[in-house]
Amino acid sequence: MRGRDTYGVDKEFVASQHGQIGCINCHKGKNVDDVDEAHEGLVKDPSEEGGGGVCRDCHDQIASSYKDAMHYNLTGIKDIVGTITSPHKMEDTLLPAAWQLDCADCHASCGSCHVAWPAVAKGGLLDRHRFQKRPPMDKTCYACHGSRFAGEYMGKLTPIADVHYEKYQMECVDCHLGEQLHNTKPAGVKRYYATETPRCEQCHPDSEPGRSEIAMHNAHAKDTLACSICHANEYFNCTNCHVSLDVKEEGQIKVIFPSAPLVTFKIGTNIDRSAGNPYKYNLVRHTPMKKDSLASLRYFQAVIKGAPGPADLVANYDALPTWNSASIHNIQRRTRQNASCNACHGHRELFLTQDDLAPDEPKANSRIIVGEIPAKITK
Amino acid sequence: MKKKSLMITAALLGVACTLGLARTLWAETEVSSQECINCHTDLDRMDEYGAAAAGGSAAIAG
Repeated sequence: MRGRDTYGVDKEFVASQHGQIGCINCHKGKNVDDVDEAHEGLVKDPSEEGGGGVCRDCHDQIASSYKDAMHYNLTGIKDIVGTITSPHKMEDTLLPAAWQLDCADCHASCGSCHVAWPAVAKGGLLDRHRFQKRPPMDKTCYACHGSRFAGEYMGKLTPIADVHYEKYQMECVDCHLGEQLHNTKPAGVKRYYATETPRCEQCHPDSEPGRSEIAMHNAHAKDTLACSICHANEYFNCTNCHVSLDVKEEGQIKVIFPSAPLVTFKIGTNIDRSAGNPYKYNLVRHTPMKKDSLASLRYFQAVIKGAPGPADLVANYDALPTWNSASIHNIQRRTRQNASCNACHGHRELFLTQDDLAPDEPKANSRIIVGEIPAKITK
Repeated sequence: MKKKSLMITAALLGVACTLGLARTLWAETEVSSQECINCHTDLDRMDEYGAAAAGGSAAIAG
């Protein structure tokens, strides 16, 4: 998924409230006929800086919370990278440069949802610069979340799309409200520790254990199983990612991630239990991280800085699991595993076990495996 | 009473002047980007430029 390199601006936008502010008041540059001179000092995305940029002038309330929101500061990724590379100091490695070259492409400014395609999709205006109060899911959300949530939601990764999309054409922001996307509460937490996130029960209150007319809902105690364990289908995982060079443009280092895909379905132990994710068991997805995934950074560092980086960059690899809680977005009412009690019970292949762990995977995965597989129900 | 009316009139005049000034500044702002607007609203030209600039591909992330 990529943008269209469109920089054309519709006259309708020029006449709109945002258009009347004037180009150079937001984008800088110069109001002259010469193209090169006009673009001197141009700020391509004036909404970027500090989580609001020029938007803050009028939308201060949103900008003041957005600077701490996870879509802006990518807290989860930073936290993970910091943990597994400990005790190395970031400044002794090429990680800050790699962050700028790639990871930062996924952090969202106001403009990368409401005006243009996100940087990871190469940018370009969404709709001739008309502001999109409701970001178009297939161009904005999907651009960053294409290999997981949005891709599986629209059925682009696995054969089964999500019923909320297929049957009701619901879009991401129908559940993930703007207020939640603009304001992570508490500020700075990772996604499973945010307190204001969509929950299935908000729209399906009669599905809660003890309150349901469906026997299977009542058969499992509250906060035992995530809804997706019964209602999701097989999903996409990445397994074997390695940072590498994009050699398409000589001299331009671009981080890319060749990875072997894995389509599977695994129930695991939830080690991220919180008010918003209280379940004892959750579906888990494989994170594309190997102990040597960042090994090439050592080589890049030697080329760029004259001395190689740490040989054991991912020194603390065992600290975090590579099977992690996942919010699978290909929900259906009827699934293979909820056809009957024994469509799940006794089916070892549905559960993450020691057999699923590769020998070179981190020790922390042992916390995720399900020790005792529920036995078949015989009466 | 007369003094109060005078003050209200003065205040209204002040608001009117401020709005007038803001309007003037707004208009100047529009003018100040006219060259940019002339170029970027030429959609055929912009699309031609965009097509030429397009190259390579973006990976799907996340």
